[in-house]
Amino acid sequence: MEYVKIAYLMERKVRIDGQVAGFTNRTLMVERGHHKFDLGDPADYDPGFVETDVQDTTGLSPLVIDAFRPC
Amino acid sequence: MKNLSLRVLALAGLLCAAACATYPVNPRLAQYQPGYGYRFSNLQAPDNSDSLFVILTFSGGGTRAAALSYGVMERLRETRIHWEGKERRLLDEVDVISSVSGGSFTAAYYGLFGEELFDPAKFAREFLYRDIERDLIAAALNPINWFRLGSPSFGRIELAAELYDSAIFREKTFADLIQRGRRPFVVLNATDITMGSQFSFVQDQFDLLCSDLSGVTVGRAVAASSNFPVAFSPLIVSNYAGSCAFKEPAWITNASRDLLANPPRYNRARIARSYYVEPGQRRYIHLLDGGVADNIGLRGPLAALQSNDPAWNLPNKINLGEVKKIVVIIVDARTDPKTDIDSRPSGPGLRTILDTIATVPMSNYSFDTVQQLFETFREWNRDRQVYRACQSILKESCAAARMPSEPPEPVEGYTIYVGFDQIHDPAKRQEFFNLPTTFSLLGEEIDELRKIGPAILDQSNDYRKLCAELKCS
Repeated sequence: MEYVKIAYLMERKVRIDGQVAGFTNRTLMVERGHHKFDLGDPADYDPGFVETDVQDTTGLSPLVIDAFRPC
Repeated sequence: MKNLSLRVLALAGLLCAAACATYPVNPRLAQYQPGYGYRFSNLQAPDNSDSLFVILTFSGGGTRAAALSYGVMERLRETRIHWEGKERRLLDEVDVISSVSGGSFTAAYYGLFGEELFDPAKFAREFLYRDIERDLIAAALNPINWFRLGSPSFGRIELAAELYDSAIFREKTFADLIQRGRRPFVVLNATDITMGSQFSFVQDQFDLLCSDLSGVTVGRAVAASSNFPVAFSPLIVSNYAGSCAFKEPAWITNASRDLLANPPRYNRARIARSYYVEPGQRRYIHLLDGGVADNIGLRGPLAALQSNDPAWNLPNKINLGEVKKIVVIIVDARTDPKTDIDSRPSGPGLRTILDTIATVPMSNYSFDTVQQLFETFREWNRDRQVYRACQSILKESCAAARMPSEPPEPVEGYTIYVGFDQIHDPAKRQEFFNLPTTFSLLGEEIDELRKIGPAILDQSNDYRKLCAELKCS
C-alpha cells in the first residue's frame, strides 16, 4: 500500500481515478501505480486534475500533491 | 397412415426442439449507466454498520462446501454482538459474500431469500439434503433433452441451470436481488476460460459486455459458478461490447500503464479490456466453475482490500473514515483425499488426472491467496506501528515538534479461516478431507459438516478476539 496526501486550502473530498476516495490534507491509502487525482465538483480549482505515478511511499512520508489552487 | 403422420409430426417437433434449443441469452444493455444494476453501491444497509465490515468467502466443493458454509451462517445468525451502542446479530453485519461453486448455492439463496435460508422446509430440503446429482442425471436421461442437447448452443450445463432455476431459486433473476436492495452483496464467481480469470456475476462485470445482468437468472449464475470442467459443457454469455456507449473507467486507463510498477493491477486492466477493446472478437464468453480461477472466492475481496480500483473497495472506505474493523471469514471445504497414485509405478487414469488437474494445483494456490490476506493486514499494522513509534521518539526528543503528516486512518483486520486442516483429531480430519465433492451426501455427513463449521470458527484466534471486543453472546 502507498500513501498520498493532497494538500489544499480547505477540507474537500478527493477523487482517485474518478471515485471518491478520501479528503484533502489527510494521508490516503492508495494502491501502487499510475493514478488521476482531482477534487470533484464544484470544479473551482486548478489544475483540473493531477496524474502521477505513486510508488515507494510510506505512511510517514506520503507523496504530497500540492498543485491544486482555488480559482 | 395416421400413425405415420403422428410419428412424422413428433419427429419434426423433436428436431425443432433441437434446432430451437439455445442458451437463455443474457439481455443487451441499452445504455451504459455507472449507477445502474446489481452493484454494491445500490444495496442498502439498514441494520448493518459500515464501520464493522464483514466479508464471507465460500469455497467450492459441491454439497460439502454448501453445508460447511451453511453451518457457519447458522453460527453467525445465533451470535449477538454489541457494536457502536447497538445489539444485533453478527449475520446482520455481513456486507459481502463472495462464493464459488458449491458455496454459491448457500450464498445465492441467502442473497435472494434471507432468513428463509434457515427454514428447514426451504434450503435444507430444496438443496442441501437433496440428491441433486440424481435430478441432474434424470434431466440428462430425458429423451427430449437428448434432442435439445443436439444443438451446438445448448450444452449440458443448461440442464443444470434449468434445474437450479426451477427447483431451488424459483426462477428469480438479478432484478429480484436489486429489488431486495439490501446487503450482503453476493458475488457469484465463475471462470472465463479464455482469460483463465475470475468472472463475477455483478453489473460492473456485465458493463464490459454491454449486457444487463438484471435479466439473468440467479440459478444460471450458480450453474456457471459450479460448472465443473468436463462433467458439464461451458456456459455461454453473449458479449455485446461496443453497443452501449460504455465509457472506460479511469482506473483501467491508468492501470494499463502499470505493467512494471504493479503487474497484478495491469493484469486486471488487461483482462477487463479483453471484453471490449476489439468488439466482435469475443462475442461469446465461455464460463467454467469459479474454482478453476480461485477455489475459495477470495481473489475478488483481496483486490478490494488492496486496491482503490474495484467499485467496492476498502482503501477508499478507510480513507473516508467509514470503516474501523474489517473481518474476513474464509470457509474452505478443501479436499485432501488419500490416493494410491504414488504407491505403484503405473500412472493414474485419465479421470484421476483430470480431477487432479482441476483441484490440486488450485488448493495450493488458495494457501497463497490466504497468505496474501494475512500479509495485507500485517502491512497496514506495520505502517501504523512505524508511524506511532516515530511519533513517540519525536515527542521524547522534542515535545513541541509535530509529525509532518497525519497518520493513516486506524483500522483493524481479522482473518478467520474455517477449513478442515484445523481439526485436531487426525482421524476426524481425514474423514472430512475424504468426503466427495459431489452434489449428493448422506444426511449424517451433512449434519456433521454443519456442526464442524461453527466448531472451527469458535477455535479461531481472530474470531475469539473479535468476539471478545464485540461482547458476543
